[in-house]
Amino acid sequence: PGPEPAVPQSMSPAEDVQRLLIQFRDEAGESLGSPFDVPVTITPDKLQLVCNALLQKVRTPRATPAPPSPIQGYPSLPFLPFLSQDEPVPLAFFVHDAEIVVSLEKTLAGQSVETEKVLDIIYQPQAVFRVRAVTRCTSSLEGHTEAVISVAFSPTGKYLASGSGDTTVRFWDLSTETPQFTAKGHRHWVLSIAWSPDGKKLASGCKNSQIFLWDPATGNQIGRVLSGHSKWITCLCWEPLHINPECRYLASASKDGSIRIWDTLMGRCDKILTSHTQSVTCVKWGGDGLLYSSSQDRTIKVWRSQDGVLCRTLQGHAHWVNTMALSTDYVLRTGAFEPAEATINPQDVSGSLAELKERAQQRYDQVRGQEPERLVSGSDDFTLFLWRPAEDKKPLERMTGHQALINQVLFSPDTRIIASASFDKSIKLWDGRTGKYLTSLRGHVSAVYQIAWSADSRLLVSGSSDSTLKVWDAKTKKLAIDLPGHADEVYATDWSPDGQRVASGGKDKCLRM
Amino acid sequence: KYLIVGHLSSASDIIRTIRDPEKPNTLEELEVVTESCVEVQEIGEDEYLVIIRFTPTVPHCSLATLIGLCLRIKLQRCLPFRHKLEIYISEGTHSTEEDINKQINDKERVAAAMENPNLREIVEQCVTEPD
Repeated sequence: PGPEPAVPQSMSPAEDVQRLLIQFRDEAGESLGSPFDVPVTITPDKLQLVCNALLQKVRTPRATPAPPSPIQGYPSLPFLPFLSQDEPVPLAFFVHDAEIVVSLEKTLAGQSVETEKVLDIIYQPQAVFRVRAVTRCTSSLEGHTEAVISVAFSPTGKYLASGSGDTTVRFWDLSTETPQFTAKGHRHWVLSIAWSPDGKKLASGCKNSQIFLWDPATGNQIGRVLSGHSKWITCLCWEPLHINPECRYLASASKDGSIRIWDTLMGRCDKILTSHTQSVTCVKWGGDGLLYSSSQDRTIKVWRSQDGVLCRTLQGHAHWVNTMALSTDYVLRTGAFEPAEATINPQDVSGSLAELKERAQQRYDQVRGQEPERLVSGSDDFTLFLWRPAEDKKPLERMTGHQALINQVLFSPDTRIIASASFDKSIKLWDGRTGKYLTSLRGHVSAVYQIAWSADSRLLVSGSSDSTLKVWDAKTKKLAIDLPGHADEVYATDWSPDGQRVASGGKDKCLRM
Repeated sequence: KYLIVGHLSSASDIIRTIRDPEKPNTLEELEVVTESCVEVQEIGEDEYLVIIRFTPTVPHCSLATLIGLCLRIKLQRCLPFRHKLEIYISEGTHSTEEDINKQINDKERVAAAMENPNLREIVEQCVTEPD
């Protein structure tokens, strides 16, 4: 008797398992391939293999086979980069808005499925890189002589800056975790800091209505002091890199109700946007040539950044609008830097201005997709509103549920989830496209002040007035790590874009990493 | 006065959905807590004293301390107004009620209990609201 011929492992198992017709669709509703049938016990791993195979077929074939290329994150059809065979794009699958975790059968349990109809399965590409949760405090940096009000990592994660009530802005050396420069110049509390998207300048605004620009490599002031506002600065925002790679223009919001656009090269005010009747609490420079500002007069105004003309006023809130977030915030913040290409030793992004602009534009287009930017606003009236400000002055969704004022809202870097931090001790997660409520993250025992997402959108860190930080897992919607250690309230939190560190500062004057 | 009534009902809404650690029912279903077992008093500007008196199901219930811990943790996280919390076993319903009252109102012992990963896991399970 000769050797037995190898029997191929077929997809159909011995028992009679129900089979279903499925059709893969992406988040925008476009179908991938044609419907085919699978056993109802199929697991996400097998779905992943099938879906990746279909995706490979759709990609435009290259003339020469590419070597294993560095993975560029945020893949989405048809911009999927060519990946080496052994590294498929990680995908998450959803049927009827529920994620398929164990098997299709379990997810459909209880739902009556008609075996003749084709079932739509939505696939979502996940970030190819994973950020590990921060688990311990590596250093406690003293230096500030008053409470630390804001901390911010530069777009590449190379520098860390903190603004404080002691009127100084301090730069910290990340490789040794020690103080590097102390930037003196302000004469009153530093209320807001903002990095330019190329990471070469830091702008800081103070209670004396002055704005200073600093060079992170030397700690010295750049150019002249920008004065003009009559009351203190509440928020600063730079022009996005893909619009101007020189990072020349800066928008500032002030308690005096006006927004000023400054030309940082000439050191003077370029435009003044007045219309708000009370303090402007937040200003965001969108990537489509629009500027958004929220105010204590309960409105949000949309301006054309080209000429400063008011386009639209968004009304709906019943009390002060404290905070805003754009769906493209993270990609505008990081500019031409791609978190998937981060190295252990953070470097500045290299390349000519034109190359940087091109890269930043590509990243922006990928994240934004086909739809216009979405804006979410949080207010003292305990609600959030989701808007499409470029198109409509009516909100997409009114998100209620919080029991106290909302201090900060943030879109996840992949724009799928909105997180809102509130004084009612909870953080609520909402769907980033529709504004539907997802879950509440409870654990803090006092007001939550600031939150920050990790670059792969899987983890969220929150700092609270109960002096702890907590890292939450966005997938399981549970607490991952608890980070106690601060001696007093934690006012500011930030996660570096390369995912390596979280910095936090607060009332105890100490910065922790 | 209306504030007190409002706070009372939010506190009782929060504790009634806490699950019993052993049985699949909520504390309200087992009549361990009721609306009338919550008392709210104003003790300062915007600060309230909340007193809960819960009744264990049997007089020798070994999980009374765990139930007290769950009550404390959930109220601490969910009550939106500034409050001071006192939890007691209703009089005459437990054999060692004095000791238990001392234990569940002791800050240090509550913190130590929450640092124990097994206890913490059980408390989180009892306290998480079903979606």
